[in-house]
Amino acid sequence: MQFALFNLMPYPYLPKDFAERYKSAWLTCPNTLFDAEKGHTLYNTYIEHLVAGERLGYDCIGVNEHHQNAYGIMPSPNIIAAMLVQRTKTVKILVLGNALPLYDHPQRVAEEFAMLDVISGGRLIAGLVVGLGVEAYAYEINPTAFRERYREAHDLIVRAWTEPGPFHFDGKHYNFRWVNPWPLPLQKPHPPIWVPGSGSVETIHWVAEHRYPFIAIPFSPFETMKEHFDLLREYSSTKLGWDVPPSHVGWPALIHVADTDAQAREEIQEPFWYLAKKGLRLPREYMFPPGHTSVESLTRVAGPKRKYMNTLSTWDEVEEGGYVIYGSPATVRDRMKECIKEARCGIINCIFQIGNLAPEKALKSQTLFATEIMPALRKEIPW
Amino acid sequence: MPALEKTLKVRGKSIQLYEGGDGPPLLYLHGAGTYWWLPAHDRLAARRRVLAPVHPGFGTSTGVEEIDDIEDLVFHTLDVLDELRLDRVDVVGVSLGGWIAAELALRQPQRLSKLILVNAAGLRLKDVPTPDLFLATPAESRELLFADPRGTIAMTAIPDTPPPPDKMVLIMKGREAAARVLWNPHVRYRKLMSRLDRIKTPTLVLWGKDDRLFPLPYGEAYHKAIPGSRLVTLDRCGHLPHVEAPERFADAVLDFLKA
Repeated sequence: MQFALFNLMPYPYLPKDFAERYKSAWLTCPNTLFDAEKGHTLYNTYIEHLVAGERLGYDCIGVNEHHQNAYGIMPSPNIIAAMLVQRTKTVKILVLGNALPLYDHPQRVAEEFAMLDVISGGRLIAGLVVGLGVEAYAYEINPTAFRERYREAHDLIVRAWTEPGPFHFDGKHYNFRWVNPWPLPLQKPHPPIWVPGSGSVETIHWVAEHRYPFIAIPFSPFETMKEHFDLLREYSSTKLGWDVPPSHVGWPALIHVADTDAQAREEIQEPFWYLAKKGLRLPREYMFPPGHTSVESLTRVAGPKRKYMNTLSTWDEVEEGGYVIYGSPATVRDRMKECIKEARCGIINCIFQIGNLAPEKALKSQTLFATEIMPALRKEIPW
Repeated sequence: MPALEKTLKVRGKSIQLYEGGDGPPLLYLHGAGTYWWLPAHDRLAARRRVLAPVHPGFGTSTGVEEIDDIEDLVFHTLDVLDELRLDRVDVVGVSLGGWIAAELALRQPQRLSKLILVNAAGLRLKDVPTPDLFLATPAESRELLFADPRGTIAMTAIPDTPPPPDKMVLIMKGREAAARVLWNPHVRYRKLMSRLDRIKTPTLVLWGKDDRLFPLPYGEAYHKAIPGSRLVTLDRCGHLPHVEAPERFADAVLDFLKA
């Protein structure tokens, strides 16, 4: 089992009537709502929480990339990762990931990841992500080219890390006459690559073909996520003759631990709805620009049981879908054990900073998880 | 007059073609959202042999993977003309189709007799922003595209309820084909304006006056830039004259062709 302490760096100060006044927390959400003074404290608090992950015994501390939104204020995860590298000694640094199609110069990803790996002494896990549909608008990248750009950029980066330079890269979207990055990564042949995916068949197939760990995207029902894992395992075993080990299956879990079940429930409800109804306020037209996700995947995504978190309206639905695991340490431990066995996953991306949850409560939650739950899971899960 | 639906083989692509009417040929280049035979075509077909090929990726036409930008659609359209054995033809292009038509007139003027641009994409006016149709909900799309967004025509063309699955797949594929050429640079090519004065083909710029996607200044800009062109505007009509005002659209086209 590998436990990653993940922080989405939510912006928790959206106004009470946000949902009535604004149609999206992404792309068109006015950035005049951002308060830089509060941002200063927020960033530093979130970074402290991540740094604490090493002392608490998490295997990795994790960050990610999203643009032009109030959901998570981390357009550049590499900047945060650089700080984490300096503040820690042993914990792995998970950048999940860099959104390759958004870059016209993916060489930069090869360079920055190599720097992080060298400086950290080989602690980087390099996440390579396709990016959300809404980011096709934010960075003016043609969504119909996302997949091709992703694959080409991936090939370029892996070759840049493994093939002696300089060499010439000749692609459809990327053309470089000189590929010769200094430095090269410390880990050989290159840092581990993890790939997050929303469950589109094209990503699942590609990940399996490359034998990379697949990390689901949070905010869907637990059952839907399991279906994605099953799809991955089935495709791998039938088409590739490869049994996907739990170490290649990652569950991004929203978790809240408090002293008692009642207290946990009381504390998490409002932050959960903040995330669901404000941070994830994202119209369908923003989420699915044409061509970003294949027609086949889109018709799958649209099934009636696959309720995305922002469409929920009652706490019963939240419970039933398993969108968040919460309770006393004993409750969360039992529930996690059950879920991990069901999903057969060996990576948990633990998300404690949910919506506008008070940071000190998130810190307590991540501490309780590390001390009361993680050791038991390590002992009792057979992988 | 019902249209014939045929399939053309064009350089390995399978291209859907609607054809109807008799008389001198008229090539109709469709826009990103309406790529089927419409009542407006019937009216044109009363006087002309209307040929409406469906661009790759739209309808049942294949070969979209070879289309990355407007240039590809221009060369593809020349291939279609070759396949139809049309040396020289009148061309009417709507929206995206208008952009293709303007680029055709710049590249192979000898293939065109007359040119009609209808609420055409392709230009950029710094002080007249164009909204993003890809971002629009059905209700917002109706606002952008129709003079009467709540009228029967608009509600039928873009209903609030999602269409049945097979129609939905067709629409999604069409949006994808459109996005390939329209996303970035968004619905335009920055050098087009400075080249338009090279067009010597007799040109009609026909514009639905209430277009909120490409407002009238875009029509005026085409008219001003193309030497000797005529500008005809349609009242109470938005971005899709062939849908919202089919009779006036067809009559304006036919009048110009007759002149």
